[in-house]
Amino acid sequence: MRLLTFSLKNLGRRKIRTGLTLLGIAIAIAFAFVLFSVSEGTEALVGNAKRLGPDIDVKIAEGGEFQAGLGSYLDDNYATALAGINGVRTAAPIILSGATGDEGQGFTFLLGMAPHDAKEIYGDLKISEGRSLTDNDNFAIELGYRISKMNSVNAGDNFSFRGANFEVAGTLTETGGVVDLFGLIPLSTFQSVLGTGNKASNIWLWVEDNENAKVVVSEIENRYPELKATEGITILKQTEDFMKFGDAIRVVVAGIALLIGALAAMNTVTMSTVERTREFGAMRSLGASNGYVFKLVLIESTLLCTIGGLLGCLLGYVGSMVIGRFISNFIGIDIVAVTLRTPLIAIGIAVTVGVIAGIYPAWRISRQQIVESLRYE
Amino acid sequence: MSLVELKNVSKIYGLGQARVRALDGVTLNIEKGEFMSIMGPSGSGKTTLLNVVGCLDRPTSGEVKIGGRDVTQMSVGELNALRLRKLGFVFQTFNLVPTLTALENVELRLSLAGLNGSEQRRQATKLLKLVGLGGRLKHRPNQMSAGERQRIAIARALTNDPELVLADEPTGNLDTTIGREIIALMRDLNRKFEKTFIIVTHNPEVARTTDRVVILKDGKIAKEERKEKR
Repeated sequence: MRLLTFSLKNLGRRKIRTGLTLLGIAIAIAFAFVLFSVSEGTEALVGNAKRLGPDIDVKIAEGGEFQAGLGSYLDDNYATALAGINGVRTAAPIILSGATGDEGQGFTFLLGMAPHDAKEIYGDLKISEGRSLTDNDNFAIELGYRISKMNSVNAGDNFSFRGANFEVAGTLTETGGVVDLFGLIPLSTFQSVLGTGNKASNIWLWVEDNENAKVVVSEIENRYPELKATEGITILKQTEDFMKFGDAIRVVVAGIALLIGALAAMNTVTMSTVERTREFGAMRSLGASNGYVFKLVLIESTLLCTIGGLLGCLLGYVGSMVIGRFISNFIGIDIVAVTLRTPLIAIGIAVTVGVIAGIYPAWRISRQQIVESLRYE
Repeated sequence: MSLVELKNVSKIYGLGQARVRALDGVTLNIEKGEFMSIMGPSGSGKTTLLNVVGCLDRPTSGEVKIGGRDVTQMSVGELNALRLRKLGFVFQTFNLVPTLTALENVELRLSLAGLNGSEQRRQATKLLKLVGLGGRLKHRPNQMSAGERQRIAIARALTNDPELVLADEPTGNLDTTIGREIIALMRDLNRKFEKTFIIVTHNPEVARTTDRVVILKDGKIAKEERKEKR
């Protein structure tokens, strides 16, 4: 009789209790699974965000003028001045703004940028349909994959917002990142639609050599104290820090769920060992060592949680798919990603929880005096 | 050399005013192949004596030798090994594992002794046939009568070929007829295989079937009766 077989049979004694505990553990693991999938998804999203963004972001320092839809803004002529700083390859004034389409189209991000500057971002992205924007375009838009699908618009169709009609020049292939939610329009057109004249929300800089980005940042702040320059890598780091904060919250929430699961498992295993006190006493009297009894209970607990963990992974996978589909349909971003790492971590946690939950009841029953166990009523 | 030697064995439970002297200077020798019983009123120390001989409990004082070895000085590991290889237990409430079949219940102790799966199966089947359960190998305890359950317990006690089988009220949960059958089975095993049986019982009829009856009172041997081996 193998310990594993024996443990499995013991778990089958109280089917309802074991079943309910399995369900509790499965739900806790499924919950953790979904949260891990969200972490994986957001991590991928941040990685993808590297595609969108400059080496240096320049904004007006605090206290500048403010306009609804544009935020604190600065004159786009700064771009010409900034382009003159040694080491700057491109200086592009941009307007970055969220917008909702006029005809029930979902929320999207609009990037106003001169098409020749936009090559810095869009240069390596593939056009799925139509063509890229050129400097000759006015009321034309280049749509990311997701925003084009969400609004069922193709190249040649119209896309309208704030009463202006844009012809869809082209749509991009899927990147899986935030670029999929962006619409690119010429800066001058965006400025005329918003009525901001030659204002921009930011100026994005690309440098010849990334090593020099810090030097360029301090040069800008020395020359133009009214501006605030931030390295792109810093923005990414801030985003990652924000994501880490989100991860920390998810770990805490998942931890609470797992703690509840662990307590349920510990309760079940403790109850089960208490009920079988005489049986353990008999086993010890027949020659089973303390270690054998300890291992038996520990294996039962670990098996219980491992089976619960496997069920939880299945539930979690289905849950992640459903939640991912829902969020993707709603906001257009895939923030849920299931990788091989997620079920491996989930199973690892389930096994650990099983071992931890089993230690106390295993220790307790294996230390009990045989005669006391045999006398137990 | 006797199989079991007890010299001036005492067992005291509790402290101070609550001290209970469960065994009080018991000296007793049990020879290999004996079929004996221990009787006495409730609280006389019968089960305590069985527990001390069965190495389930250590005496407060005195000497206990099994096969010439002083078990009071043995470590927990040595006692486990001794119980596994040399002793067998039969309980009033059978103490079988309800989720295991008759065969698996017997195999369990063989697995503790390190036998491989096929050898476990072979020996367990042989022992269950010996106690008359050859046709009930795959049945679980709850599918069997009380008498059959006690037969499984006896087969389990005989695994690893023990020299001594200790039975604590083995007929206590059985009706008279089945109880007689169980005692007859034990007697048969004692005669055929020269297994030593110590049976704790309240039942004078059971005691009458044994070759020697030790009567305890207040933790002391009050009387001892022997009869000629048949």
